[in-house]
Amino acid sequence: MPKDPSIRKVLVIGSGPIVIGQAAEFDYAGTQACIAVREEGVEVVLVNSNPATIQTDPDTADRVYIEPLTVESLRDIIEKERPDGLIATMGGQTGLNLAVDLERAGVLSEFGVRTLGTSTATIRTAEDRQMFADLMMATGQPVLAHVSVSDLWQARDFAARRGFPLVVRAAFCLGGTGSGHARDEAELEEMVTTGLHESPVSSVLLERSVTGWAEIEYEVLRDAEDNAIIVCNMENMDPMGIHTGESIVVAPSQTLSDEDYQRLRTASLEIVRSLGVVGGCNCQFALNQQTGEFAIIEVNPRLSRSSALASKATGYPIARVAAKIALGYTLAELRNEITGASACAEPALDYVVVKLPRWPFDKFRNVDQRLGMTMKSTGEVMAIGRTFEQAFLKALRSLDVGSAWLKVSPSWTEEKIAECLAHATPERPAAIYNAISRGWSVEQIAKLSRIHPWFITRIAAIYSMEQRYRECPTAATLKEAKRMGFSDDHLLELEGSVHSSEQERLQKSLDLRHRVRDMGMRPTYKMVDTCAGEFAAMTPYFYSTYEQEDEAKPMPGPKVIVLGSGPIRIGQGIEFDYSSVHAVESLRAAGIKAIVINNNPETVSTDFHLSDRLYFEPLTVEEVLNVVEHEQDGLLGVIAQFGGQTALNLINPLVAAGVNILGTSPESISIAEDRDKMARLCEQLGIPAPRWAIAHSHTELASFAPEIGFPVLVRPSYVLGGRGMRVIHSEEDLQAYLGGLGEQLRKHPVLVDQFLQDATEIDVDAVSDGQNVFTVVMEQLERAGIHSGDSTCVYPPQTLSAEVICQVESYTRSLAQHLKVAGLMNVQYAVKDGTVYLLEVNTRASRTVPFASKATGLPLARIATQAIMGTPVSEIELNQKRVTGKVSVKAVVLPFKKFPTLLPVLGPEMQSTGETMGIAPDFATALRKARLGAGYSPDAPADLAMHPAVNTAVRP
Amino acid sequence: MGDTLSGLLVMSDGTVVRGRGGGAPGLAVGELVFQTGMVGYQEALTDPSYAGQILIFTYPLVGNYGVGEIGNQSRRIHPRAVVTHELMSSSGHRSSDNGLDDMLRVQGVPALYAVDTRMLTRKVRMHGVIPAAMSVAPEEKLPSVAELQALAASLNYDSVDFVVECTTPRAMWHPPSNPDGRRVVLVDYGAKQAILDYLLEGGAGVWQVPATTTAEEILSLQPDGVLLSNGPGDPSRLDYAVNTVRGLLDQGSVPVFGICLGHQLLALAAGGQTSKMRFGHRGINQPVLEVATGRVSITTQNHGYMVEPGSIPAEYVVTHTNLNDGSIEGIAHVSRPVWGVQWHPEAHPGPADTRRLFDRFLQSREVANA
Repeated sequence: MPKDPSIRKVLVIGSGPIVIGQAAEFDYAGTQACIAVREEGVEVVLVNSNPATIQTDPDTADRVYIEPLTVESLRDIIEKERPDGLIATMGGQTGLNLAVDLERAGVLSEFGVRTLGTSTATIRTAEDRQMFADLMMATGQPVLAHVSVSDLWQARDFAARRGFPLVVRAAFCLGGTGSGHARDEAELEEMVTTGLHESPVSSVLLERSVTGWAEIEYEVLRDAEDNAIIVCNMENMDPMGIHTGESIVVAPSQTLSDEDYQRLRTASLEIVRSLGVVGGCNCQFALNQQTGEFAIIEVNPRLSRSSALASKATGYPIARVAAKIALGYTLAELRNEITGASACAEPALDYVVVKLPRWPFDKFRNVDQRLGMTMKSTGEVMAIGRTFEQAFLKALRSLDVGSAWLKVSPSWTEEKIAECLAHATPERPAAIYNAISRGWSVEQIAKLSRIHPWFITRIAAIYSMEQRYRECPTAATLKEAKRMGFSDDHLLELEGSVHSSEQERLQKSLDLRHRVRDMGMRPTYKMVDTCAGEFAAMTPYFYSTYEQEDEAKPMPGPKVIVLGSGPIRIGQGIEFDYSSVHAVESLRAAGIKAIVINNNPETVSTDFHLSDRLYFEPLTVEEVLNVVEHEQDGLLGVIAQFGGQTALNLINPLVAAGVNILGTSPESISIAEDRDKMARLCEQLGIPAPRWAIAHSHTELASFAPEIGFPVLVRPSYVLGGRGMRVIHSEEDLQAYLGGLGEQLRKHPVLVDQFLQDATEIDVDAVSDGQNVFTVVMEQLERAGIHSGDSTCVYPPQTLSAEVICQVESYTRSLAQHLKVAGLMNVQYAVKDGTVYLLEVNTRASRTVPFASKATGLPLARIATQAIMGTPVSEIELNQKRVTGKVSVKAVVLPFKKFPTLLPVLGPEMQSTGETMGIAPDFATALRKARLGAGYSPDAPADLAMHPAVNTAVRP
Repeated sequence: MGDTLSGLLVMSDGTVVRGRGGGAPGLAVGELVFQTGMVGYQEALTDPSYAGQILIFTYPLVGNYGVGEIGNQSRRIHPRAVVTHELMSSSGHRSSDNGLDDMLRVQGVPALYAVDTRMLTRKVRMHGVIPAAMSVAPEEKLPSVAELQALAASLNYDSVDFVVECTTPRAMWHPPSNPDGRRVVLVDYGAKQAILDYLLEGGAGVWQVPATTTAEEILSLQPDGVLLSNGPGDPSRLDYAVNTVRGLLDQGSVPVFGICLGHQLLALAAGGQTSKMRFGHRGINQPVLEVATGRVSITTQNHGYMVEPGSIPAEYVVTHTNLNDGSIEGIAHVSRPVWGVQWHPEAHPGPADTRRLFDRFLQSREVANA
């Protein structure tokens, strides 16, 4: 059936703030869905509380509501907009739950809103574990022995009959919240109690544990006429017992035979049909590889993290097709826009995709790092290669953590390795690698880890390649290693290369690069085309490998490369992807071809529809240089200021290799990053800054601190992001601190800063062309000292005097002019007793750019991109366009619930995962909305007092 | 795993690809084709329809889960040679007892790997299937490029009858599990094991007969239905087979079901025509539309020839088309239980979405000659 003509206006629900278990994948899905619906001439009304999303841009939907995702606010919107239909499957668990609540509350029937695509009845059946299990049994699908309980007594009874271990799962919860393995009565009691509390319907499922079985997923699309296809299957390298969001995942499956594959495929189709899904659905199976027995574990009748991964892994736009299906189209009527072939065909891959999770344990060091059924990771990376080894090595590099490859850890005891193999932590791949390096057998490692021997053999192949290259670094082994996916830096280390400086290391790395080129080896780019080359595709979506034929014929210029920001982590989230996407849109609007390099499968920036070309690659110097070399003709340069610290870190080596960085010059960037140089600039410009010093000894510290004046902020200089910070209030405090420091001081000097107690912090985002500077001044509600990423902030400022704002704008202007900033700049100030102090300057897009853009109604990242490309910033025009008469508040979401051992206190280190926005004519309402969106109780404005840091002056 | 062997492939147009050699050392000449399945390499290799061809697997990792008896669709490997990106050793599977490399070696099939299979695939897609010659040998013993090119150029795939090497040498009776089961004649042009398995699982007793069996001989077995199997090569040169099918259509009213080559033979016997496709359909993801219902099934396919649109005689209708390119995927007689499908409803490898066609065949009854 073609599109249903009675659908003229559709409501799409977003997923709200980024939390662990629900990240950028829903902005990707939601944005794609909005575009697909609007293409059909249907009006889109979008609701989401998260401003850092492309879907809440005025261009994505016809009407955008940045409002809390609650029944009350949705009711108001539905009453006003009167949509014909609702698409609930694009907003994650949040969207799904809200749709069910809206139906329960009678809102949908009251206003005659139809649920488009998968019905709420289907959603309920799929989400209610007992109803789902009953349906599966009725249709002959294997399920695990289980019981649904609503109190502890029932749980104990089941355990007494079945025995331990048991799996505990809370109903209607995202990211595995409230789920886990109970090995004994005590654990059962604790988990069931928590689960009942977490579950919005106070229901917990207990089931037979199949820890150690393989976990396999199928992504299914079905239309209303019962056509159904598998878009992609995926194999979790980590076995059952570890949440798929915490698992290393490969696509397609690697260890399944045709028989295995088809049995699970057939089951997936039967399950989705029996549920009556109309749209996308993810099916998770447990498979016992020894016996062939399998069971359906759960389904997600919506777009999900897995569907985003499947889309990026195959090039098949699941959200787009699901949206068309929701409007009434059948799969048979839709074409694959890439190949012109049918959208009803199942993609064939001719490469291997590896996904690795990114965990926040660099931020949260004292939490339980064992992986299990609850999600703890904040983001993920994906890599594409022609072999598992190649994709895996690329994925490791993409993570942007400590080491870019696995290393031998001589300090690990055999016991530690065995422990880490048996109880997974983020270090498990390293444990496998170390076990191999010590001669453990594949069987032994497989037995301990329950990971399929195939994967261990592949990691062993990497280890053995390393050994061969180490022993014999000839042209032949070099070729072999490059083909397997080794980076130049990795090979350099294997050659035993030592260097005394970063510069020398870079030079050696570039030398190796030339050696590889001299051998006639250079990366070839292959297309992701959904069909393994069977049809002529035009997808602008490529990955590198070392082979014979290159398919990415360089594009004619003018063109610009935009560096993405990699995996989502605390401190570098979706906000940077938002800015990258805007940069791309701005370039394309100006007739410049935009090339994106990024490795995060969840994001809008890695949707190949967005850019002229997408290189899905690790963000390393080598891989970026490869693309630069490849696209050299007509390349104007590289924009790095939208990709967070990940992209910024690449600037110096790229410049050293001769790459043109567009926007603010690398020299200016380095001034902003250098405390000494910044201090001199402040002095020169007459901008007050907190007094500071670097103490190299106890004596220095003892004399500097009183000189600067108590209270002072002290922190070891070698740590970043606010780790180990302390406020010293008095001479006594100082003596105590000195006593605890010991020898450490000799190696790592301590930074001493004047601490501005009870100061008000100000966040400024500015766009500059080097001369003209447009500023957006935001006031933080928490006092200075709380990380700006964790603080609530308001635009326009509520308590700052006109003089202070004027001062801040003037300082910002002179900083931008002196640093010749071209593009975005973020400056943080503190005001104390009427004096404005400069705290920090970042010559790049900041976390607040999306909020500032939405609060002012001005797309800052786009304007910045124009400035980078040479269009002057027109302050007068921008100021005229600025939204007035509204107050916007940004509130944050904190992950304390996921990490029960964390102290729920804000500090100088950022801990929040996401943000919400409240817009209203007055401050109090805006704050209430923002906090409501972030999940705080609407009736408890007093709980602001729980934040010890909130400035009393701004409490409503 | 064949570390000391090299591989060299030369196409008739002079394209040269060098890589590592696996499987058995030797020389092979065949039509270069690709197939896009991501699983089921053993089922594909033992599919007799690949006889006379050199098979490129587009999925780069081939051999991951080994090989075992359950994966065999016939008694041996039929492609003349195999090209893969990686020839993987097995890490074990409950159904496997050997590695793919070993199976190739034992059966004398050379394999070329560590080559850019996507480049080769794109070449075949753009230029169509192409004759090629391949050698696997120690580096110093590889023949010259010119030698291989000459061999490749000498191949005339379309003129060879590959059915004779694939069909059963003599008629075989497979008794039914159910004594009341129907009696089916399976005309074997290179039938896959799964066709026989599905018929037997459906309760039928099966006479598996050689491709050269005449219509009279088939009808003398008093079948309740005749299944024309899949098989290799150009259907238009198989006059004996076309005559047999024509005889079945003219002399009897027995239900006839053609699969792949069998479907093409049915079309030819009915008066239609077949033609060679540029690079065919080979994979396990082909969408087929049932014209009458609008329903789509995902199918396994392996064919390089097709029934010409517009050549279908009036008493036949096109029942299925390919959603990708619109080509004919199924035809049926308007009033008699006679039909053919271009795809492989027996799966193995691939989806079992259309297995119901076997039930339909086994339930169909003779009707009076219209």
